[in-house]
Amino acid sequence: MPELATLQALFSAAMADRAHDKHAVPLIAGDAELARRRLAVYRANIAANAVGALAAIYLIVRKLVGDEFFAGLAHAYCAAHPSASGDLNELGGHLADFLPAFAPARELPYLADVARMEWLVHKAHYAVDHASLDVGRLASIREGDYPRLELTLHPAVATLASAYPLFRIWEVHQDDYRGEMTVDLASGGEAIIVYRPRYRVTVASLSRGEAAFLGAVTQGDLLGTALERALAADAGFDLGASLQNWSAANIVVALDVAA
Amino acid sequence: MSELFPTPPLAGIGLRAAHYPSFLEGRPDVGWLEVHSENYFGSGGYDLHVLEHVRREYPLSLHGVGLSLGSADGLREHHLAKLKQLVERVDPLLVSEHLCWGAWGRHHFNDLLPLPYTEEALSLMVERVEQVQTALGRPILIENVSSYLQYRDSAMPELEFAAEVARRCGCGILLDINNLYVNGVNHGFDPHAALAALPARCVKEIHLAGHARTELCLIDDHGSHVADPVWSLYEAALARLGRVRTLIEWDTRIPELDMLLGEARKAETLLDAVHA
Repeated sequence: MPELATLQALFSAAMADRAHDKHAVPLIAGDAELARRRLAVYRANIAANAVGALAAIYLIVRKLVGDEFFAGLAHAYCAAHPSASGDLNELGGHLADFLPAFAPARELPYLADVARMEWLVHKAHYAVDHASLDVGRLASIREGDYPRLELTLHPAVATLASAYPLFRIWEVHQDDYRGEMTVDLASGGEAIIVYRPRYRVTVASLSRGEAAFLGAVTQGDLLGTALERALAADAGFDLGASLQNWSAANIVVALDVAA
Repeated sequence: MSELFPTPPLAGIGLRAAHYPSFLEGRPDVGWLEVHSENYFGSGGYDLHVLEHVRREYPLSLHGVGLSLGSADGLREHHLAKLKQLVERVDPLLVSEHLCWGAWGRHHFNDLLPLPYTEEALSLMVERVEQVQTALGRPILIENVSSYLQYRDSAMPELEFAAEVARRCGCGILLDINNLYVNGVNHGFDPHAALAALPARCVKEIHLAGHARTELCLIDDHGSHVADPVWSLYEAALARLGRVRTLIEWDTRIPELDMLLGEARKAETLLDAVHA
């Protein structure tokens, strides 16, 4: 009679690869052929749960490649990166890095960045809440302190630069989008921002100046330095207008004079 | 008297994201709600916002699917810590998990795999349930799972195993009537007779759900109406156990809320027919 640990090790090996069924079959009551088929039921359930979880995160990747391709991708991904959590919402964080090595996706070089964007959207959905910027407090900041202002971005905020038109790809795949569906992949790259104004995560494109500014802030630069970077990237960068938009969209949630 | 002290409804439904708007805009008429704990393991955002809203309106149960209590290589402490955080955040009426395992080493299967019903597994489950109850500072319920195979080593029926875990560590039992029925068909036993293993007082919650029939076995996919023989088994369980808080689970091919509420009303009618 095998110990529980042995039983679970043998069963697990069979779940990972049916070539190991022969070691698990003797654990199971009844006919050996039936035991094999029932192990296969579990293997199929486990695979279906994983594909379902990935499909719920990677909506656009799935629409772009179709259900069959996506299921193949999900199976290959899970073989390379098995679930490491009892919470299926944590499955799939390495898909963007896995894609370049997935031979069937080689003709779709933009797919990895789409996956990267969708993982950021997924994470933003669960990010911790944060109160909006207290605009009233801004009046108390002396103008001379502006360059030393430290900006806090909402915990859901993330930016991503890509060689592909990611915002356009995101936009045309939204349920409420009614316009022209074509995406010109050769139209050039763009940076995007993922944010959550209240509870619904959304994506927007960033100008060069905005991307440079937010990139600097993310690295810990104060307003003065971030502004220099933004203006170097884009002489037309309008700090006042950007800050107003970002505070309304709950992207910038605090401004404090650095100590 | 019944008008002054109406019996609180004991039939509830599983709350799924598709029905969030109905619960934010109104107060659908149902006794209580249950959610999968793991769907609220995030730090913030919409799901937790909805959960905290419904918690103010209804009794709430947190039903875990990923703790993998029965894995012989150790309790998943990180998962337990997240559950504890959520329990502290919403202070639910009930917390439940499954009588199963689902992880080995770093690898999680995200499925409810059956245990062999042996003395060794029994001791392990008792130890684990006690660890969880200590960590959460409250008793939990453990649920019987559906299974598509049985181990040669199993020395007792699942419900006897569950009753013994409950007896030894003071946890409650969440009796899933559909799982019991599915297992009876898959493994060739009489589910009505199996109910006799359960002491009435330890069953604190009942689950009802639909199942799917495949060529090989019944699969508990929670994707359809509760089947007629499952309703019959439910009536038999109520006759034996008394009025037990009952949940309608529907997780795949999720229907309109009204259909779920209709299933809950059907359970409520059967609960009302039970003599207190």
